[in-house]
Amino acid sequence: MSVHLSPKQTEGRVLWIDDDELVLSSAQRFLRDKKINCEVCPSPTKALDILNAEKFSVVIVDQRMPEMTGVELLEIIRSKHPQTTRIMITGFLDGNTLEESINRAGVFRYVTKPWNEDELAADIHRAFEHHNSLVEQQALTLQVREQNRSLTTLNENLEKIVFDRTKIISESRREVENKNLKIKNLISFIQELNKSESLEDLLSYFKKEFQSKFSVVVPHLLFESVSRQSVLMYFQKNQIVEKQVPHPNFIKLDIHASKRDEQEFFAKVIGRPVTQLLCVPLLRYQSGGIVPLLFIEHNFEKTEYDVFLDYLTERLQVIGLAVDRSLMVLELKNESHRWEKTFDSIEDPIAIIDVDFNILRMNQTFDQFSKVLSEDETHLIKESARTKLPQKKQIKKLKSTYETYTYPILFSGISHPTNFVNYYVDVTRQRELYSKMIQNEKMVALGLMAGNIAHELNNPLTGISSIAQVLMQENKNKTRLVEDLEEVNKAAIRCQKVIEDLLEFSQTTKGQKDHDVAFAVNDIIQRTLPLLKTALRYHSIEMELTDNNLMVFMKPRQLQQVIFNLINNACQSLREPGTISILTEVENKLAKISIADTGSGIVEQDLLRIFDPFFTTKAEGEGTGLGLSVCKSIIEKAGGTISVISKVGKGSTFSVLLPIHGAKVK
Amino acid sequence: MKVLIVDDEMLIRRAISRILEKKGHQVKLAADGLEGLKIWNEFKPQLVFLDVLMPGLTGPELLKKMGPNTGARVVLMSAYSGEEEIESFEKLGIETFLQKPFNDIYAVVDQMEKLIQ
Repeated sequence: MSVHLSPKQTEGRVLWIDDDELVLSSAQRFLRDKKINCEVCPSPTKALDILNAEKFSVVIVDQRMPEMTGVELLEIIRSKHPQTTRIMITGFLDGNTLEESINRAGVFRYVTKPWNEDELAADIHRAFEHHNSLVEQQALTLQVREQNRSLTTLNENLEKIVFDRTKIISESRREVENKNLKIKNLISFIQELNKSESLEDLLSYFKKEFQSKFSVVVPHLLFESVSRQSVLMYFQKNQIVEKQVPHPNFIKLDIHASKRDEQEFFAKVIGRPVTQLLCVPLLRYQSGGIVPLLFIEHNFEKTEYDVFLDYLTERLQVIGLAVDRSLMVLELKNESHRWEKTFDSIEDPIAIIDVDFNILRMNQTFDQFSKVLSEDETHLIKESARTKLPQKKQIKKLKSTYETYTYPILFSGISHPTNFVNYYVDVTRQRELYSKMIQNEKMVALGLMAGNIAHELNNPLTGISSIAQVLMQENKNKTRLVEDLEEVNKAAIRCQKVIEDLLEFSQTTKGQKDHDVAFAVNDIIQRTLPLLKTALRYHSIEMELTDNNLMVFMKPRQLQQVIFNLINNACQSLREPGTISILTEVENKLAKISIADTGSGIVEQDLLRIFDPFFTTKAEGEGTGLGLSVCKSIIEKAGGTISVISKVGKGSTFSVLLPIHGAKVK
Repeated sequence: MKVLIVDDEMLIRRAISRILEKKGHQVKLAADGLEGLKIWNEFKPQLVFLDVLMPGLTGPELLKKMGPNTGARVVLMSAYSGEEEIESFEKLGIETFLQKPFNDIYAVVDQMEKLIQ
């Protein structure tokens, strides 16, 4: 609404209302003289009509009029035209009228008749000014009001804009929130996928996830196994089942609703009809082989189908990556399993050890070892780390000796090896064989030599002893000479004894052409005892020969020799009269001959060497040290074993174990 | 009785011969097989002590050369033993095999004397 401020008027129009025509005409004259634009009206009601039609700056009203009093009229004008400045003119000065004029009618001036023309004209001019200021004030008020109104409007507009904006913002926020939610869903989906390592876990998660959002029945997965077979992984009563399947020939490399042939293929494999099936090929990113296929069995309506496709498309890449990763994990596991098996199939202990001597990996046979390395082993590793070269050493571990190799593992780009392969080859048996071989070599050489020595020495010795005997016979009366010759003869006989043993030994090692026969152990013992009459003279003998039919198969003379030697040794160990026990029995399906004495016993360090050739504890000249080694050689040749247990001061027990003849028949 | 002792070991020859001579026997000695062969043919002994391993001719070789029907009883003496050897010697007409060493020379000689008578 536009506001028209009235142009500043110094002079306005006056309406003079008086019932007295004479007053009106003199007023007209007077005002015309004073150049004041004036209208007159004798009737108050008419005046009100005029005021309604035209604008007047000032009204001059007489008090006493027949229609209404001036105060009453002015009161109406005040209310209807408040800007019109009001002047009361009256012929009678009356305090009551004055009071009412001011209070009720709000007059500007109160003038008495007859008026002073100059004063009245000045008052009219002041009234004009008053009116003008009122008009101006009103115009200003209007203007202010108008401005207020436009401000309000403006304000209202602003509010609307703000509201609109807010609405837009909240809408876009909702959109963002939706987007965030989608992203959040996608992230949690990816996180879940990351948590599930195996294909089974993945498939279970797909099932849970899809079913919670869509009317998916169940997902299936077709993939190529590590053994390059097509495998279908599917649910059967909530259990995941894997089944090897013929490779399907309907593979297409885009997402598609399954065809009849695919449905038939499925129905055949999982053993129930399949209606709606969505086939989703997944890419293989890093692993080789054929493309894995995710089949989604569903009951989608048309709209849901589209929503699901959107949902799936968003996730297709991560699903593909997850399945791919699981397949790779399978392949890696398969590879590492193969490596482990390879590792374990090596019977020699192997371990991979780091530079701080921690065992990183080991095969099964290494497991028997302590997991804390010995000083020898750590030394090998230190040396290998220092030299970057393989090291080896024979190391005793548990009860065996191992040729231990330490190989540094050198990775390209790393100048110092941090890991090492320790490889242990058990050489215990090898060493035993080696020492046995050397022993055998020695024995064979000794055997060959013994035969020659025996012959070369026996002849002169027989001569010495024979001539000594002849000389003793011829010189019976010469006591001194006879005593000397006696010693010569004894010495010769001792020498002969050594040669006899040596010869005996060489015969056993050479394997004389004596024949093996079956005979009873007890018989041989009975036949041997008379030969030992002299040795057994002071000792008591206890015999427990349980089974008279205990048969062995070997050279009887050799077993006799063994028994002879063992009993003879037993006698020699008895410095004072003692007891020798001979026992035959069956032990673990073997014939056992035990010969025990109550003699001095054998000290521990000698026990290990007692069967070694030329080992003897007897005084020089009393024994050759061949007796027990001959026994051992004889018994082992016959497939048996000989052993001894002994306690110093308590005595020794020698045990011979031989295979029983005919044991297999029984 | 005429006795020949063929042995490369001088002390053995001497010991046996001393005992036999003391008993009044006629004894000849040979230190190897060839000498033994010569004396055997000339001397025609009734009893021969014959060593096995000797230079020149071995005991069994000497026996082969002599052939059967020498009229002498032969005692073969050896430091080697073995049943197989004894069997083959028996074919050569040996009656007694004496294993060296012998512990009692008098017992041996007594035994041989009995064998002849």
